[in-house]
This record gives sequence, structure tokens and C-alpha cells, in this order.
Amino acid sequence: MTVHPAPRLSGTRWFKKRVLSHWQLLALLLVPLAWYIIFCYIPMFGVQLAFKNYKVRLGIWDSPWAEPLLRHFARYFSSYYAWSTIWNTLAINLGCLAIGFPAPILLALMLNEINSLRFRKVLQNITYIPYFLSIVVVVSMLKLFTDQRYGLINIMIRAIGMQTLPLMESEKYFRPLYVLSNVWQNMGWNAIIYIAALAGVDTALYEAATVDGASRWQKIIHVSLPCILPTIVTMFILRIGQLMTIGFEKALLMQNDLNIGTSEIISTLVYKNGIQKGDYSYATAVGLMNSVVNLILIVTANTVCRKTLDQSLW
Amino acid sequence: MTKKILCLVLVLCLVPVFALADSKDVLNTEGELPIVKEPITLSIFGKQGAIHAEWSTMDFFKKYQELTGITLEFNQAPSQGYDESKALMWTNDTYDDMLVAPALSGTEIIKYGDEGVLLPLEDLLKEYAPNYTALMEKYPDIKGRITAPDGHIYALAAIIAVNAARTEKIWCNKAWLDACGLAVPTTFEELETVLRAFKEYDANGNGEADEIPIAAADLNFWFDTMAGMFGLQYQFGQEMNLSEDGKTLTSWLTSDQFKALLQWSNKMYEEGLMDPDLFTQEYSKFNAKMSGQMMGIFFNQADDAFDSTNYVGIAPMAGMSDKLYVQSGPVARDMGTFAITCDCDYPEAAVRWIDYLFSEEGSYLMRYGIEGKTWTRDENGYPVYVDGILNNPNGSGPTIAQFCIWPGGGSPQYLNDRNCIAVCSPTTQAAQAALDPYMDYVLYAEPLFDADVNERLQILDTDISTYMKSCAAKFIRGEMSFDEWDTYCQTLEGMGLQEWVGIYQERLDSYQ
Repeated sequence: MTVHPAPRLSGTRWFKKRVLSHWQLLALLLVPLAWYIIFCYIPMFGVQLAFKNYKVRLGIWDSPWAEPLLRHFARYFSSYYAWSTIWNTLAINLGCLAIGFPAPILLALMLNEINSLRFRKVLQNITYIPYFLSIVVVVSMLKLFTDQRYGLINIMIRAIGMQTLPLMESEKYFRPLYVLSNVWQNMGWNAIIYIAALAGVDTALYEAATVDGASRWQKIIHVSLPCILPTIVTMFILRIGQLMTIGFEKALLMQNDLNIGTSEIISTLVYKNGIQKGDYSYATAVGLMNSVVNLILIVTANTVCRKTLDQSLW
Repeated sequence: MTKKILCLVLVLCLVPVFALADSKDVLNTEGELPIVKEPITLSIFGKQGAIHAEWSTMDFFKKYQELTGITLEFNQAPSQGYDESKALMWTNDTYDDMLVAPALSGTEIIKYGDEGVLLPLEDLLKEYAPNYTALMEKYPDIKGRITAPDGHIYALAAIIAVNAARTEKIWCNKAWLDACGLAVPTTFEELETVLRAFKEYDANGNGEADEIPIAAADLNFWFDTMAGMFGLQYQFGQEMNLSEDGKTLTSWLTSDQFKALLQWSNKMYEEGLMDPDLFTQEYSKFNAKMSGQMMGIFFNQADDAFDSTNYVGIAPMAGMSDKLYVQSGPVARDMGTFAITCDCDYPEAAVRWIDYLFSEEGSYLMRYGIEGKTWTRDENGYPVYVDGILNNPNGSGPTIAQFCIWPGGGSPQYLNDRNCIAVCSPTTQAAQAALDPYMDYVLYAEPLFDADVNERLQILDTDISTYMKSCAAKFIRGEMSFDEWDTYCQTLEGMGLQEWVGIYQERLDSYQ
């Protein structure tokens, strides 16, 4: 196929043809652009706090540089829990990735196979309602369900004649509880993008497959999945880019003295030392370190995906 | 040289201008109300407790504005999400004039004092705060506790001059004891017998042994009271003992006594005598157990949250240690209860404003509200609440919080024998009497450290307390065997236990 080079246009004509004629699209772009500038680029100015001793009276710009420059990073690693929080964060995220990533894809594929539109809509609504529950509510529910004496789960365990489990009060069960409740809460919501992608698949492909005698299973494997693969890869790369990040709220709410060995993650440690004690430089330093690791991960994931699957973000 | 002279001349020219605008000029004669000749306005920031009425509608604030001639502008934040509100407050461009009951932490006092947000108060106190200064002379501990390492006082503490308001009492269910035919336990041996009897005895008559023999709100409260019975102290508010000669501090986290305490707790846990909720419950759940009379023996400061008809306060158990101690808070119990910011135009008036609340009459207004409306005087001239407050079905605390700010703690207040009835009922006073013999030892209060030391201490504190609590919980629940005690000790040493003790030792040395 030959590509015809676009004819060269003079400055004003180029502007008129290429820019002004698309003004509606560009106007739409303005809103997200403004969002990024205001919430992502302007705050980057504050990253310097990681290398400074922040003083509220002096402001970000005039606060003195830390001595030595990487002081706040060193302080983080001087904590006995530094490395274990990094591992705990990664372990929870890997768990969420291993179970939480395929779950919405499976859900979307299943929903796509349901013929009754009404049933499908009801099911979809039921699965994504938990997403709108606040984390506090979800954790309170968890606590009620897992109580060793009165909790639903332990009552069932007792009913089948087994020893009850200290689910909330043990390091062993913290990760499964965290991951599974996360999957339950987010599966329906995350499935929306795949459902949308599946809705966009050309029905002619399914009809052709039917004519060729493909079974329902084969249609999923050979039509549905390949068609949403670009979406899956994009979502996967984006997910990899958050491997070092977990919000502190849920872990902090689930935390107690008995599960602290696995529930102390980077963000909860930073919350306790940095935010609660007003040590903003320290909190910024750890946040920056997190972002750098995330950046490295996302670039690596993107490269690997481009080389192996021929799909990538950029 | 000429420049210097010019500067001097200019400065001298400015002096009269400053003198004209002197913030002292608004003050009335010392010791007289109103505080100011012309009405002024001061804005205040603070923590409005969960049970408090809106501050501006409280009798205390309304009356006090009338008395002082100082109109207040209320910018307080609700207790829900207060830490976040406070964190944002510091980043404001301008600050409110006074911080009243702002719950400042030691770190904040040092940090924002050092940065110039909080005004140094020591000179102002000398001149304009006769009441607070007199109290500081009467209780010398206060000065050491509120003075920052740079010698300045940036925030005032509440002064709690009543022992009973600074200790956790040991409450024992007398009705259960009588029903079991047992006497008040005095030794660990007797205590175990009593606890086992409580477990068997079916107080609520449902046929199950679901009563809780012994309990505390959480692990910290458990140790606070139990540690003293094993001869352990909380010097500087930390897990440290002071040597006989008063010169050396040692951490007891790795000591045999602490191991014995854990072993005993483990035994109680295994036998089902100790409340298993201790490790995870919220305070409200403990509160419900208190008011529900569900516990045999438990620890709480006062009897304001439960009906104490069936309970008596008992003394610490003997048998585990030659020396028994009762842990108590310092006289300057609540730190960071009042501060003046750099944006305050009338610091002198603000100091007088707070100082009056530390006078006898001021403390009555602060703790009882308006005379004749919520309180009257008894034959000695001491205040008593009118009927319907202490015996209010909603509880005395929430009732008083409709017109005074002290319920919930953390407010600048002077508590003494005359004005403490609401928190020290006769039963509580009697429970305190049982503890008094064990409070006669030198106990240092938690001091303020300078910023650098504080930074290091923050990391050490978080690490050590996190690890200790997690291991202690596992030892007690039998998830960690006592064979692993040495590993536990080594890990603590590796975290910098000696460095941590060293920081406090250095402070102790500086006192001598």
C-alpha cells in the first residue's frame, strides 16, 4: 500500500485546515488537559520538598535544602520496617494483580454470553454496586463477617465442624482478605471497560465463526478475546505502573497489633510518620521514591509487551 | 559607618510609632475584669469535641466574652477529621489569634514554635499571667514539661492537681464477689481464684459462662496498669525504669519482669479469663461492656461511664514483685492546650484571657458554666452542679459539654479538689485512695525534644512500639512461644533500643 504524502500547505491555510476545522475536538481536549495541568503538573513543583526541610512559614520555595540532600530518603530506610513495608506492598499488589486483574475480564466475557438483556443488566448492576461503598463500610463489613465468635464466616466454619479462624487477628489471612475483598468490590466496575470493548466487536465476526461451525467456547477464545486484547494489554500496563502504590485507607482500617507484620505497607508507614506528625518532606520523599519505581515498572512492562504481544501504550 | 548611623536614626524614629500602637494599651488594670478597656476581637481555633455543643452557643464562651470584653471569632474544627483540619490549618497564610484546646502534639509545639508560628510565652507569662505562674511555682514539674529545649514555652498545658484524674483505677465487681463468696483479691494467687470463679459464675443467668473476668480497653491500657504490679515503671511516659539512685534509665521491654507479665497474661488468655477482644476492639465496644456491667475486673480512670454501685476500686496485686507502682499522668497532663500565634495583635490580652481560667473563680466558670444557672455554691463557697446534670440520663459528660468545653479532655483547665466533682465522684476518690500508697516514687513526665532528636525519635518510637505490641500480642495469644524470647530481644536491640533509651538518658542527665 502506498501512502500519499499530505500536500504541503502554507502557514495560515495549514492552521485553518488542520486546527480551526477541528475546533470542537480540540475544545473537548481542553478539559482533560486543564485537569492534568492543574492536578498533575503544577503539583510537581512540590516534589522539591523531598530534598528540603519544609518550613510552613517559609513556604515550599524558600525552605532550606536538606542536609545531606537525600536525608529524608535515608530516614525512611533507617526504619526497621522499611524493607518489610516494601515487600508487603508488592505482595498485596501482586495478589491483586493475579486475581483481581483476570476477574473483571472473565466477568465481562460471561456477561457477554448472556442472551437476556434484562438479566444481564441486573447482574451487571449487582456486581458493580459494591464499588460505590466507602472503604470504611467495606472494612466494617469485613470485621463483622470475620469475627471469630459471631462472624458469618466462622459460624459456617464451625457448622462444618472445623476450628474457627482468627481471620482479622493474624498475619496469614490479612493478604487474602485484602485481595479478595478488593476483587469483590472492584470487579464489576473494572469489567465496564471490557464490556464496552466487547460491545464494539463486529457481529459479522461472530456470524462468520458460527457459519464455520465454531462452538460458543471457540467463539470466546478466537473472537472475543483477541478483539479485546488491546484493551487488556493497555489495562495491564497501566496496572503494572501502580505496583508500588496502595492507598493507606483500607490497610490502616484493617490493621491491628496482630496483623501488623503483613498489614504495614509503605503508605501506612508514611501516613503515621509523615502526615500524622506533619513531616511533609518525609512523606514527599517516600512518595517520590514510589513514583520513580512505578515509572521504571511501567516503562519495562510497556517494552516487554511491545516486543512480545506487539501491543503497547506508546 | 554612616549607614549604621542612618539605620539607628531611622529605627529611633520608628520607636514612637510603635509605642503609639502598643498592644498593651488596650489592657485594663491587672486583676480586673474586663481585661480590655476597649472591646477587641480575637479569633480562636481548636478542636470541638464529639459531644460538644457548637462553641459559640456555649454558656461558658458567651459569659466569658461578656466578662472580658474580648469578642471571640470561632473558627474551631469538629473532632471528626480533626487531625486533617489541623494539618491544613498550619499551611494557612494567616493564623487565628489563639489556639484553644487545639490538641497540639509535642512535635508540633517544637516545630511550629521553632518556625515562629507559635509565640514564645515565657516572658508574657511572667508579666501577665499571675495565676499560671503561681501554679508553675507550686508544681515545679510543669515547667520542665512545657519548656522546649530552646528554653521557650510555646504552649500551655492543662493543670490537673488531683491524683484521681491522672490514674487508671482497678474496678472490681463487688456484687459478683459477694455472689461467689470471695473477698477482694490482694495477691495474684487470690486474683486467679477470683477470675476463675467469675468465669464459672453466671451473672446474667443465661446458663453460659460468657462473663468477662478481666479486661482492658486495649493492650496499652492493659500494660499501663499491669506493668506496675510487676515492678515496672513508665519513666518519661515510656517503658523504662529508673535505677535506685535515680541516675540510670533502663528499658524493661527486654527484662525478665516484662517476660513474667507476658507469661501471666498468656496464662490468663489460655484459660479464657482475659477478654480476647482486647487486641482488636474499638473504645466504644469497651464502653458498652462497662455500661453493660459485663466485666469482673477492668481498668478505667473514673466511674462517669458506668454505674459504679456494684463496683469497688481495689489496690494493685502483690506477689510478682517486691515493689509495686501505679502509673500516673503528670500534673501537666494534657500538653498543647493553648497557644498564641504570630498573627495575634494582642498577645498580652490573650495571655490574660487564658490566665483568668487558671484562677479559682475562672476555673469554676470554665468547669461549671454560669453561676445560678448550672451551678450554685455550697456552704464552703465551693461549686456544686444544679440537679439534673451529674444525674442526667444522657450521662454527665455530654450534658456538661452543652455549656462547657472541658469534657472530652485536651482543654486548658485547672482541675483541683474543689472543682473536680464531675470527674472524681466519691467512688472514684475512694478507688484512688487504694492506689495512693503506690504512687510515692520519682516519675518523670514526657519532655519536649528539639527538632533533630525528635525526627530520630519518631522513627525509633514507631518501630519499637509497633514491634513490641505485635510480639506482645502474639506471646499472650500463644502464637509465639516463649522460646522465641531471645529472638524478640535481639530484634529490639537491633532496632536501636539502646539509642532510644540513650535519648531519654541524656535528658535525665541534663536535669542533674
